[in-house]
Amino acid sequence: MTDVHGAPDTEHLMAAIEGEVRRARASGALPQGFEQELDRLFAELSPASATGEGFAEMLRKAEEYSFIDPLAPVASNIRGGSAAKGAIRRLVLWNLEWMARQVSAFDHTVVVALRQLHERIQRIEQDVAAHPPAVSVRRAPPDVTEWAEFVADVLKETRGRVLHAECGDGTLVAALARGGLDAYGVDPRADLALAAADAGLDVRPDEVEDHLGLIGDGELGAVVLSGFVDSIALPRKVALAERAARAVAPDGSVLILSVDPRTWLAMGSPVEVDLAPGRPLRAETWQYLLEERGLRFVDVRHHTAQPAAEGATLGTGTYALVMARPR
Amino acid sequence: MKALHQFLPSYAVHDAVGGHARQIRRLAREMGLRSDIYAGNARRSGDALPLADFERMPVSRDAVLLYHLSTGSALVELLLHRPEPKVVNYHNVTPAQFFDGWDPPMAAELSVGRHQLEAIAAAADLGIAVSAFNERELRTAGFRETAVAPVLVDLEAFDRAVDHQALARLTKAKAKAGGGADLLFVGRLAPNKAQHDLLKALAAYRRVYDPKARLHLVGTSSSESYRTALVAYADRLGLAEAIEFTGSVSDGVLAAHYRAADVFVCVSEHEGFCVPLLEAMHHRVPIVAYAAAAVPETLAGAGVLLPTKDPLTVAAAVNRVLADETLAAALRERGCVRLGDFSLERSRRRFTEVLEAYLSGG
Repeated sequence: MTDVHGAPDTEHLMAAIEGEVRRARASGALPQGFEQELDRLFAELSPASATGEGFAEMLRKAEEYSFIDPLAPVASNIRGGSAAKGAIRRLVLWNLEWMARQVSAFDHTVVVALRQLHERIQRIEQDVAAHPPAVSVRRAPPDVTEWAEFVADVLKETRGRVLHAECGDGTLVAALARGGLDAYGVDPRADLALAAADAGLDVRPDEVEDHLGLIGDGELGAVVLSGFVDSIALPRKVALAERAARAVAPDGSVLILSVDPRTWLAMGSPVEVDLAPGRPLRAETWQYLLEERGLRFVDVRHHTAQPAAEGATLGTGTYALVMARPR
Repeated sequence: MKALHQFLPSYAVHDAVGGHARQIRRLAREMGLRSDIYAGNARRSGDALPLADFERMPVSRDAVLLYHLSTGSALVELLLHRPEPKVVNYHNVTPAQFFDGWDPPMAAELSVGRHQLEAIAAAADLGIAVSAFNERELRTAGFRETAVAPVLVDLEAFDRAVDHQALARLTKAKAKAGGGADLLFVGRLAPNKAQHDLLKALAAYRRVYDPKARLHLVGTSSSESYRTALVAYADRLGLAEAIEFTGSVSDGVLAAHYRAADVFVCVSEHEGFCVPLLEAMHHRVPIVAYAAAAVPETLAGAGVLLPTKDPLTVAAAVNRVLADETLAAALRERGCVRLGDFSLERSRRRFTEVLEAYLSGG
């Protein structure tokens, strides 16, 4: 894997490593869910704010740290050191206690104020449109079979991992893997994701935004977004465009599989459509959002209206937008 | 200009910044300048002088104060109140969020360091960065004049006498396990250095390629809670026997680890330069590294640079290096060439150019 000068040929080397990763995954050498289990185990040992977990847990930690202990340890490796430290501690303890009480009181007050602020923000969040509605609607799994061939063709030269979010039962993940791509999926509906994993696909039960938030810049070869992108509120769509754009490497792609907004109301489950916090965007709008984040337009394909299957969110009046990060 | 004095929050003889400061002192004295190192933790009998000695010195417009910034320190306030011209040598401050959950006091100190970088930017005539990555941060912080000059490292000092007892122990452990690769990383146990991701990579590597492989983590700890979590993690993964946490080691033991290593693996998320990469090149240990912060710049092709640290990708890269002797040899050769860019002679020349340009007002 060296060039004529004996120097490592980086391009070929990385392609070989990626090929080896695909083979290892396909062979089942790494059990399904092994890497997720590694992440889960470490998350269990990590403090809340190191893993991006709950604000409430961070407040609890802040409260714990708000107590200032004026009793400094007196252990020492030097002979007589302990006694000397103990004597100094006794001498200054009254002063330190007086200071520590004030600092602890200040810290505690700040934590209490933060807790109250947190509660107020939670109430505000519940009132704004960006927050999911109180009514829980189970969305139908996206039917992206009509795009599988196109997506597989667009991504056939992709280097690195391909993420399909939300991937539902993993149909597209399976199609991409069959095409030799190192594809995996995430879907928040645990039953769907686990069923796909049981079928031998690398599909993880996770919220898409949470998952993308953990991925470093340029770590993925491609991101395919479908299903939920139609129904989430606009602020989430913009944040999603940002995360997806950052996640792909140079030459990597972001694909949006979406419903044309003009057919949105006429299709799918009425309950789902009526209660969705957002509406689908036109391809031009996704293109604009992604261009703003440094991606360039590659292609857009439209499927003209066809009879909608009952409960389907895709299948009629849909489009596939392909954007890429310039090298 | 008649004097160049340096300031460090704390000085340690074996620390990369400490060695760098000594080299600058030598260089300044060779240029005919008076030059001393002052540090917050220094004693009068040591290599560096206590700050009190400096505070007693009369103000001199003929002296330049060079501050080595790598964390938050009360020293900045002291320097900001002095009228002498100031230069900052920036070694990078780890972003505080890496320590937020693990070690809040450390996070607070680092956060102060970042604020101080901005505070001192307005007062400093020049910011010298040890890498182009660091220079970009200096610019962002508001430094008007910046330059890049690498860390002054005496590469010959890497030729420490190997501790043969330690080497024998490592060789014996390998024989006892019936072989298996020895993966090495050198650096403080710290969340930004992401040793937990090395544990994940080892778990994947053992599962797919080499069930006897071991990982050696050489270095002291920056965060006790992170170290505790790493040890517990190794235990939970059933890797307690396969991972060595050496803590702080002598030069000889460090050399023994480089001698015994098959591959140096770095998945750090934040490095301002990463001197251990140079050490690995010097010891001709092939390198696999995650492309983050200044690592790609320091490595410059002298290692396998990964765009992701997905455990299986790191494992596959390690396997590729160990299975392909031609590749490993090519990486070693590239390491030797790259190391030449950091030879003490070359780095001293660069630092002298930067200093002379500054002193001449250019």
